Amino acid sequence: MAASKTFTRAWTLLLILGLALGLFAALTTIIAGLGVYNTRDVVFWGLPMAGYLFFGLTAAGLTLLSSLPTVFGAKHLYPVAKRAALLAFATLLAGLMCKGLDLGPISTLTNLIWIAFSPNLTSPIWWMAILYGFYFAFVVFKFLTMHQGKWHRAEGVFAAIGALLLSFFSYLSLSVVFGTVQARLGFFGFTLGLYFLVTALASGLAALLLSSVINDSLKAGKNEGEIRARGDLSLYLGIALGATLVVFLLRVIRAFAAETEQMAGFVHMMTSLSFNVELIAGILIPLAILAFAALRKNAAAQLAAAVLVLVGMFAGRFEQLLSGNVKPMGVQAEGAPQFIHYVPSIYEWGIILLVLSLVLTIYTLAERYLDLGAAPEEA
Amino acid sequence: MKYAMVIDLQRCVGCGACIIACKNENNLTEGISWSYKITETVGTFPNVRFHYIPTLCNHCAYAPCVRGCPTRAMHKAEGGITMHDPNKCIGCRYCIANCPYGVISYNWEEPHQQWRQKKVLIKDCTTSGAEQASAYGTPRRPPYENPERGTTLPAERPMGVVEKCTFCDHRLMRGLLPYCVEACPADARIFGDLDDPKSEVSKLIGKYRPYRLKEHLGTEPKIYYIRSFNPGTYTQTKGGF
Ligand code: SF4
Ligand code: SF4
Repeated sequence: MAASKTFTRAWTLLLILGLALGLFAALTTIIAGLGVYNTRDVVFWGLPMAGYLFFGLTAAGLTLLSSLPTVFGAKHLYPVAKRAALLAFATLLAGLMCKGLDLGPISTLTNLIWIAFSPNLTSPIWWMAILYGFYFAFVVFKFLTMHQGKWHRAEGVFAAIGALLLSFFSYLSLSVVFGTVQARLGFFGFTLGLYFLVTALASGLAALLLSSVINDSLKAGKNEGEIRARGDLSLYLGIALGATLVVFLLRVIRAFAAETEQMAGFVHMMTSLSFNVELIAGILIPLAILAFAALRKNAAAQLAAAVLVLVGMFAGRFEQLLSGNVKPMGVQAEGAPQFIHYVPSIYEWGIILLVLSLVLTIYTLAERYLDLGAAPEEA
Repeated sequence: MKYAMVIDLQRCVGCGACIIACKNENNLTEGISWSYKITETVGTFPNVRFHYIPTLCNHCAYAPCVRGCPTRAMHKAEGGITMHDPNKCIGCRYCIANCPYGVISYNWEEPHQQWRQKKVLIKDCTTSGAEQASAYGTPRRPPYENPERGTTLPAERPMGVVEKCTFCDHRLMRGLLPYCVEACPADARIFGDLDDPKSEVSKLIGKYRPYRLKEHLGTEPKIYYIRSFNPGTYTQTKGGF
């Protein structure tokens, strides 16, 4: 590592601080319950759930990218595939922690055993829990096979195909969770599946691009293969953002065309900060940057585009959730304002801080000890 | 057996006795109401009208809350009652997302906090459970809850799980009516078995044209509303411009 000692120390301190503060928020939540959040019966899913969607879907995009070389022979992505696999593991862990910390106090968490002992096969949440459980196991297995250099051995291929399929089905189950909520069209029904697909790809690509640029700037020797791969990733990110813009516009058109009371939440969110961060910072500006071939090869432009996409996608998950629950439903509307003004509490931000610090810690340690740029010998 | 309730809006005087009775019977904590109301004002002054619609869980035949619950904590019980088992509830709140009527509540905080509180709520005015206990010289706070509720559900639902109306299943099993029905001074809530053509609910549904909330969603609610309170008259007219 070419990074100076001062930088390393400052970074380590920052991570420890983030983990400590985040852990405090998580322990408070587990002991005191979700009353420390600002979510209530109208806005019943808030920032931690947005974190789950953001990290979970980013993991899906990263799993696809890490599987491309093994499953589809995309050898030009060899230099970044192992890093993608590690990031998929870290982000998936972060997502699942967000979801776990959005359930309730310890007394509620122990009830999770009923997922196994009292299954409800008609419940999309049940399928989501099971699929994400297997998906997580396969993501770990896949990284281990890659770390052992067994990318193209039987177990490596099995792990890659398994992780890829499970990421697909998990993403699908997540879409069904929202898609089947007939009472809340603001979640966008099954069209949400399309939105999740393109944005999962975009955030996965952005996370990988960002880590690769940072890694390159901190390392002494440049890896030509990785620089070339980054050019390809930038192009793919540009294409994914183009698709995201199309689906985004479809959502807007649908909301106005449907003109139902149920879309009022989304229309209300269109004036919110999260909506505009999503559209402008998360889609339009990075798309404009990546439209230029020269900028797609420029590390600073890649860094800027990747950061903007990640921030925008996070804002997008938040906006999508609130679109479905910011407007009181049925009897909840009695005596309530037309739309609820929800600002996450410091504990909710603490959960996001915890999982973000965890992702960065895992990544930092892995970059140092696990040779994330490694490729199979035949590369 | 198919339990149902008819709410006669012409009889309902909007007193809210059902809301209070339900809170007492089911030991509801602050901020949670299983039985509630929708009030709407329509028109522009001076041509205005006020609607009062009492609400509760509709015990839908095709209940989306039941379909979506991952652990069957929300389930169908005898007579079509939509029941909840807090011991199986993982607090995911998917039932809240799925219920189109907004009648499910999550216990965000420790229930009955004011009662548990040790200090005086309002000096020389209201007492906490702990104060009463010390005044009586008993080591424990006097019971606050209706213990009968505890026969089919924890008498007080714990923090971190959801809760909702059960049609007072603990009373039904003893041959008693739901407490909101019992408490209504105007007899606006009528309860019975839809499978029995001779029951009062079957007769009323046959006699008046009932409507149910958000019928277009196909949830088949078991709460039927009949008539409407309207003492007004108007001069016969064909309208015009
Ligand atoms: S009213 Fe809501 S809680 Fe009651 S059965 Fe219907 S969907 Fe479930
Ligand atoms: S909150 Fe409880 S009852 Fe509601 S869907 Fe989740 S597990 Fe079922």
